[in-house]
Amino acid sequence: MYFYFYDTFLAASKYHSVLSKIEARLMNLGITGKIGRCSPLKSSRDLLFDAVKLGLKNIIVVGNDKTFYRALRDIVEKDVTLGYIPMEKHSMLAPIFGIPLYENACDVISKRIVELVDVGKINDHYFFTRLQLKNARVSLECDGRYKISYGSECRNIMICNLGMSRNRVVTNHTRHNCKDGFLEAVIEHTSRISYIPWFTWRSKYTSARQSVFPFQKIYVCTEEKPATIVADDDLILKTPAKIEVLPRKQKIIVGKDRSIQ
Amino acid sequence: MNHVNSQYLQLNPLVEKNAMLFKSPQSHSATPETIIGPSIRVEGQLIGEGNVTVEGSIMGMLKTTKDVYIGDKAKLQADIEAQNIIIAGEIKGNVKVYGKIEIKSSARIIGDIEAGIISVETGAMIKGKCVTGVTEKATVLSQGGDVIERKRKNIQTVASKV
Repeated sequence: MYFYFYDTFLAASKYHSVLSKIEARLMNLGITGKIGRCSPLKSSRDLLFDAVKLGLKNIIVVGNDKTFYRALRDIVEKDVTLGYIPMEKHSMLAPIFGIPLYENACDVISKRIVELVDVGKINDHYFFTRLQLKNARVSLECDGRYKISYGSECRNIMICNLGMSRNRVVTNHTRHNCKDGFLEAVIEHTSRISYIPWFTWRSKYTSARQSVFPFQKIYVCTEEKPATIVADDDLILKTPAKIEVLPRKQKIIVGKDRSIQ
Repeated sequence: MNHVNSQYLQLNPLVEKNAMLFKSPQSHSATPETIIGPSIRVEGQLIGEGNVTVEGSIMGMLKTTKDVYIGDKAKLQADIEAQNIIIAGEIKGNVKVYGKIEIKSSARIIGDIEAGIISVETGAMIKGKCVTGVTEKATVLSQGGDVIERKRKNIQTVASKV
């Protein structure tokens, strides 16, 4: 039995025709189920928990990537299978999972290829793709075995489970595999060569270099004021943070053209 | 289908160098690799099961079941254990390699070397004992870093000072 979780923005009239097509397709495929619509009066967490209480084991998120991340954070500790119908043209998860957009995703749901993926945990919260610390001076202690310190030209730190970024550039290192049982701490170095005087604030950046440290547990803290950590480009948290990987934690319905293998 | 394609790939030169050096691009490998860039300092025991590229500095220990590349600007005060290793930088510590050790002309090693096969370029500096012909099978590390399999074959000791 399926539960279809609709995000708030789908209440807009421009989505009505697409949603009708999706519901018709689901009926043709014989995989209709209960529909829950997120609203200001009912949070996503309440809707999903109610669905789990009813014994619904397949939760299909209908919305954008942020909807998927929020749903995953809420139900990761429940034994449910998560599916996704992307309603956003520039979804970054859709090609990774091999899921087409809009009503074509229903075919992937019906074929039900399930993958177990890693999920990251930071303090009492969860994340799926990555954590970002920008322009923060933090200390990193990996697996209780070694500490990492870095110079001033290291700008951004990311903790990656899945290799992707907002600017549609894969932070390659293609080794960000969300099924390998590891997270990767990625420290970006940028070297700057000025060919125009500094006071014009123009400089040419060489290609950004990255240091990569795979780990299973990491402790991030600061000596001065707490640093901001952004999880999945959505949730904002603060240091100190204990971050660990939960290997093969979440079941996700994927398509045959997925890039996670 | 997958529009995360080469048009949007930002290539990390360290990763590309790593792939060329070890001739085994790890894009489909299950074991993640470690890359320590310049201006990065690692203190402690770095134990893993993938390839390691070092262009920064390490104090402590570096141990892996795969290959290690020490860049020409790298500075290590650590004991190293790996399957194969290419050294172009500075090491103060003992080096144990089960396969081949390649010492480049810019290498500066203060410590003992134990390897299966050794190759030294003209201009390299080594201060320590050199033992070759070691053909111990690569150790397999469990999650906790403990050795869970080892076999010892012939050891031919050649004491030398370079």
